[in-house]
Amino acid sequence: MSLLRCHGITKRFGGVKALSEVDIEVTAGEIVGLVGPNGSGKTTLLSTIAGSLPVTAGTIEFDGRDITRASAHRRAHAGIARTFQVPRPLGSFTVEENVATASMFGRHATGRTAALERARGVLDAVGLAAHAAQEVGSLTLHERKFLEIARAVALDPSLILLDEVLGGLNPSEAALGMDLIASLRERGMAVIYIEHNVRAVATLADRMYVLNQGQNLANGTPAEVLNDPRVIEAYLGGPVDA
Amino acid sequence: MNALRDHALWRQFVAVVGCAVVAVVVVPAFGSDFAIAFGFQFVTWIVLALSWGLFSGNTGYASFGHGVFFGIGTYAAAAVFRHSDAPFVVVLLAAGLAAGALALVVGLAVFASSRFSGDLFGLITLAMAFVVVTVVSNVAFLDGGTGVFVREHTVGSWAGSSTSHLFVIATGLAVLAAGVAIATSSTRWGSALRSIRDDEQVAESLGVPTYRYKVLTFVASAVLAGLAGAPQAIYLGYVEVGAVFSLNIPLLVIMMTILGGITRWWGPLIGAATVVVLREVLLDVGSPELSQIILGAALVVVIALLPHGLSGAIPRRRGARRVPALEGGAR
Repeated sequence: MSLLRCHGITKRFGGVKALSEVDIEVTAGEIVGLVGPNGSGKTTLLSTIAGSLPVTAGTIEFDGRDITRASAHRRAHAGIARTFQVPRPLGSFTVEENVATASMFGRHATGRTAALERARGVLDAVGLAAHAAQEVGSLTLHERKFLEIARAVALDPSLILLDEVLGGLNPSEAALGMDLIASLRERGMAVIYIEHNVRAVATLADRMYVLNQGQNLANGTPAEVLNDPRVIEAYLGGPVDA
Repeated sequence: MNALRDHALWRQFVAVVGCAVVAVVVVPAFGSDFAIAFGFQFVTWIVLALSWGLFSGNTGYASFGHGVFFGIGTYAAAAVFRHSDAPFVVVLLAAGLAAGALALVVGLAVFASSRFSGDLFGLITLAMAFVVVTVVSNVAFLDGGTGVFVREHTVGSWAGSSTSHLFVIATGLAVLAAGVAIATSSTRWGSALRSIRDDEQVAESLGVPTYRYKVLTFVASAVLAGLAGAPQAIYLGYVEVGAVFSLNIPLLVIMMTILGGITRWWGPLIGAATVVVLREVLLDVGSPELSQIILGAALVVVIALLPHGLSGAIPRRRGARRVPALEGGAR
């Protein structure tokens, strides 16, 4: 049974159709790669799943429940976590308070003390334990990206939406990030993973979806998708050597 | 509630109660009539500044309507005095309820759409002030345009028989406001409000029910201001729309809070103290215009030099914010 089932998702911004009848399904515990050229609607789709953007049409089912009209915080409580492409730490909170906020208000809401304790555990897992008490302003880009992941993990989600968490990282940082994403699957979380670097997505993903101009273009295993002539044409603009 | 086990927060609250008890004993016993009246106005401003900081300071939604809640409380109290012989407790509750009810209606509507945040929220609260003034001026039960004499109805009661008693009541309300402010300092409630101030969309994504927190805190803030309206009605003796709903009130409240700073719960408290004392001292300057200019200039200087206000300029003890939370859990 699928964990997430999006059917016919359409999103209009005024006259612009950002998403048109998009379907996507995710099974528990799998990593689904979501790729597509710039402006193909990947982040918009993620935002409609997370509840930050209401859909114009279509339905979203999660864990067998219709959540199409549910607010973002209800989806967080139901088990959907997201990261933001450009990291958005809570500026007046320390690193551990950022993560603790997710534990405090997330799926298994706790008091402040227990939340801070859990936050330290999560920070340890993503390698940010040494920065726990720091102000977020002092973090580097890769630390901010990992803080996004830590905050999402602290919600204890069953589905985690990652929006270009490796973008802008150097190769060694990106390798750490890929290990981290793989470890999410080991913890039993399903992942929808947007990334510009198709090779990184293909390495990690169990299945991939390709969007083009707000529409489903293809889906399947990474090998199937990367060899699909429509994908090569629309997304890569020529033959792939990967 | 984790906050209830937090030693540091309790210590702060006990200190506030201690100061209030001393003030309630000392000021009426040794103060002149002027000192008692000054003290009453002083603690009333503290209630207003703390309650404004509770919602607007914590969430970053700057409200220009705080004077309306204070004014509604004043008018609700005046109406109950005029139309009934209800005891003061009932008057007080009516004042708080009236302000809270207005905030609930406005909050439920305004916070339902993310469109009404930032500057637009400020404008809406300003518009609310004009609507309320118009309604009060035209409803005979409340005012009807002539003003309301309160003194004749209150002079025989305990609350109305002496300014000292009003001072005691207002100080009690200040303790209540400080208690609520402390409850939003380093607690779950406070974390929710400050996450809204930092980034509301992120707060939602972390599971914070932002709508509920905004509405409830807006109501709590309005109730506190409304409660302060009850002793104010007695103090004024004659309530009249122009004075009660003066725009100077919310503006002074905002000034106090910004001057004092919003990064600590007690920022609005020392902000109120500074402005009230400064205004009193500046009366001796002679011209009210000049004193206004000096007051305004003081605000500009503080904002330029201390962006986090007077309270924000005092360094935090290292780890003082977090260690108590841990100790609290171990108890």
